[in-house]
Amino acid sequence: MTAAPEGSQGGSLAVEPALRCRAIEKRFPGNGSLDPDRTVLAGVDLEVPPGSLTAVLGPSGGGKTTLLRIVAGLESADAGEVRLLGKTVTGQGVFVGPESRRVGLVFQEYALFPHLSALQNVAFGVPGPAGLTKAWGALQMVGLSEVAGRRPHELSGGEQQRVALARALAPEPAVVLLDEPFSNLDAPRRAGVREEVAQLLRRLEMTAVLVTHDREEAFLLADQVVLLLEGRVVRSGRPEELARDPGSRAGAEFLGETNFLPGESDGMMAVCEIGRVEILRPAAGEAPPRGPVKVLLPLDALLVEPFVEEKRVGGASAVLTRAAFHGAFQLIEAQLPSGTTIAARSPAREIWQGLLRPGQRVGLRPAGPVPVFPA
Amino acid sequence: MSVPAPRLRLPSWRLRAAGIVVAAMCLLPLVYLAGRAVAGGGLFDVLFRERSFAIAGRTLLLTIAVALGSASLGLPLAWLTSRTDLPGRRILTGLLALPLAVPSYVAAFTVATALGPRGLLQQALEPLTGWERLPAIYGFPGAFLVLVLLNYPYVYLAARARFAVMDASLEDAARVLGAGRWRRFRRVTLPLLSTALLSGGLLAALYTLSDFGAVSLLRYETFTWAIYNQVRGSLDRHTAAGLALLLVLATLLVLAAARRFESASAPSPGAVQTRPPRMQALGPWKWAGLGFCALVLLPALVLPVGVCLYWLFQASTGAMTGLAPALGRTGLVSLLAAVATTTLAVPVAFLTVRFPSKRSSALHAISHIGFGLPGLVVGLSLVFFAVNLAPFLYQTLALLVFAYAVHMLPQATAPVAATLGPLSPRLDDAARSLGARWMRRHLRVTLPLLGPGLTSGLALVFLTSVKELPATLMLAPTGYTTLATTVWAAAENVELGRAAAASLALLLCCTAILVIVLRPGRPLRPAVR
Repeated sequence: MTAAPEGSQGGSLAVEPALRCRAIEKRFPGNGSLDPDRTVLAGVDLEVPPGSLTAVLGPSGGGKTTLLRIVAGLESADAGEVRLLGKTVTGQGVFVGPESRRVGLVFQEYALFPHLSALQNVAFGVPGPAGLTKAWGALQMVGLSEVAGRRPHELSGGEQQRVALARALAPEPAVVLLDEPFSNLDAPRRAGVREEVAQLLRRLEMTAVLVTHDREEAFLLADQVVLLLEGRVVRSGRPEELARDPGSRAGAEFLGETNFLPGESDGMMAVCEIGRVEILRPAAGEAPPRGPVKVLLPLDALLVEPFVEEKRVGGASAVLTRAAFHGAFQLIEAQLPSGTTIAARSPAREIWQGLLRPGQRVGLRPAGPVPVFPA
Repeated sequence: MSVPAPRLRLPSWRLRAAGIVVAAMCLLPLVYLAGRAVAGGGLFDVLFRERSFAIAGRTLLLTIAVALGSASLGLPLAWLTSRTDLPGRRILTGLLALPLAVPSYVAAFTVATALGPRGLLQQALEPLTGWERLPAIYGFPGAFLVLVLLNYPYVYLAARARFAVMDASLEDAARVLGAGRWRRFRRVTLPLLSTALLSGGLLAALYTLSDFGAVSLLRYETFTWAIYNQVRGSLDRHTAAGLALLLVLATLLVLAAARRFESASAPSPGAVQTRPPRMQALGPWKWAGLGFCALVLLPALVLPVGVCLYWLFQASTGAMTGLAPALGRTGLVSLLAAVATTTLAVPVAFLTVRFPSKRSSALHAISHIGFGLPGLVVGLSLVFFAVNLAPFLYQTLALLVFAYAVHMLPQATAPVAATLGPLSPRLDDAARSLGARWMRRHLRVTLPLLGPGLTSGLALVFLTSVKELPATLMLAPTGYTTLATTVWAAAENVELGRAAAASLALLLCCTAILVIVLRPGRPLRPAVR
């Protein structure tokens, strides 16, 4: 299954994408009948507009890194095509080696050459005396010129990460690929570093593909998010589009923060335990399913209010079982009359007013159209 | 989703081709020898000859005796240096491992001329005691003495390694349970040490099986000496091949046993030491301990050097003629062997470390065959091969270097693989994505990072080549005498001054290289998380 981003990105894709992958397939051979071949990528399409940051989001083992390695030319594809700046580099009988692709790569573990200084590492991809100037510039750009002479093991994790980024950017690649670049940083540092990296990439108008398993990271940094599950793109689009409609049940389950309720659809509206809800039209442009469906209710798509009988317009009443304070919002769990537990996020002020307390009856209603999937 | 299978990537064609070439090179001697022995009828002949049984019996007797003797020296020495307050144990710890570096033919010739029936000891004692002869040293006693003195370090080192990780609380537990000193040793310490004793003893047995220098100079006819005489004396190559195949079988048995105990002697995760062991205070017994160490080190280290110096000063200046060219030839062939072997080791290390598979573990095993075989057998099989199939190679330096490479390959593979192991394969990927082609990647990234491993591989192979005797005797071009063959031939001809001078040159050479190998290298931080 593939999702063409044209529909979601509209006119912005009229320009030739900097990177285009079409129907990429990759299997790793097994070892006989007990260990069959493993399909890692089953026809992946990807389009990255120039100067944009695309996040490929998915669980570990979902084929993200393999896709990146195929784009970089470190791995061959069994089928499909990779085009960089309009030139085919993989597929159609062509294979351009990674040495000649002009693809920058930032590895998860950075892969800095341990026997070279920071500056020598950055200069590796830009040989010659002119390259040294370029490397110095790249190091300055990431704010590390004062540690240029140090070896990788003398640098902190964050500094190593920036050296790796400078090294990838110094040869002015057509596209820079980042493989879980923030996963080796500790949590407090991570937020700041990834903001800096995203800003730098934007300032340079660098086309970038970021591979991550972190939903928050992908949504926060990327212009376009591609959800890759078990070797297939289940959804791609702007972060807010994905948050609203993850494209499939599997996608919704991976993204989390959502409720499923059984319901009945007539193609326009669906009836479930919290009442009649309007159906969000699927991104791919197909008609919504009819008949028995699963109604997806993201945590932010539910309004939670103190239960007032006369004000009830739709929705359902439920008994609040848990209200956890998370600073700016509270996470609420409530039990519907059928016994199903449903979760929702609600602005914290309701707690301050002491309005929402466990044991209390609350009203729940959808804040807008929601996606449904065949049951 | 289940646990993802490890990523399977195929080695490049360059690597695969190199692996096939190395495997073929390593298999060649053994396959050819076996073929000759079986097809030529040599194996059948020797199996039904009374003399073969005598040779096999002597070999077995010597091997078992040396293994037991090494254990009974190695264990107490390990205990003294790792569990007691023996004075000077730091220096002794290193000194006690040094006999490993003494070539057996040097030890054999010095022991024979010093302790022989009319040797230096007899000459010194005669004025005092009037003894005209001492008991014979030739035959079993001499070979046993020399081989135990040179091989006990295998047990000593294995036992020390085991002591180092042994949990002292186990002995405390036995103590609390009321076990006395002897019972604690017999029921707790000794069983924990048993695997180390066994693997060390088996290594000593392996080296006894393959030894040629000591048994030939001390006239004890085991397989190696018998094979050599068969080839040189009667030119009966079929019998030699048959005997060699029997020796190979014996070697394989010991190797298989050693491998089993090697894996068993690795400490289990739970057995890692949690508390430093209690040091046994020796009190006045420390003199006995020091005496014991001296009793071992005197004949194993002091005697060879001392006797060589003595003969050197007794010798005429003629003893030195031809030594400088021999030194040059030794250096040249060892250098060629070191470079060739380390070059072959690089693809083996890459294939086994980076691409673990059934095929690469087969390559690993195959590359160890020549290492396990006695040098004499490797030499003999290549003589066969060259005489029959490649006469243009016979009596060339190339064939000798080939023999060294096949015989010593794992000595170079091990340090290269150890350096390669912690290096991330992503470094190569990074270099590729930065536009570096094959040459530049390997010159700028792989070689500098493998530097320490390559250096130790080169040095180890060089060291072993300098000492190597039997394969050199079989294969060196006529007139291409090295230091090792000079020592051996001079000792055979009772040119003691010459043997001593060559021995000292050899020992100096080996010590110099050992210093290089043991010099702690600059630690490289591996590029891993």
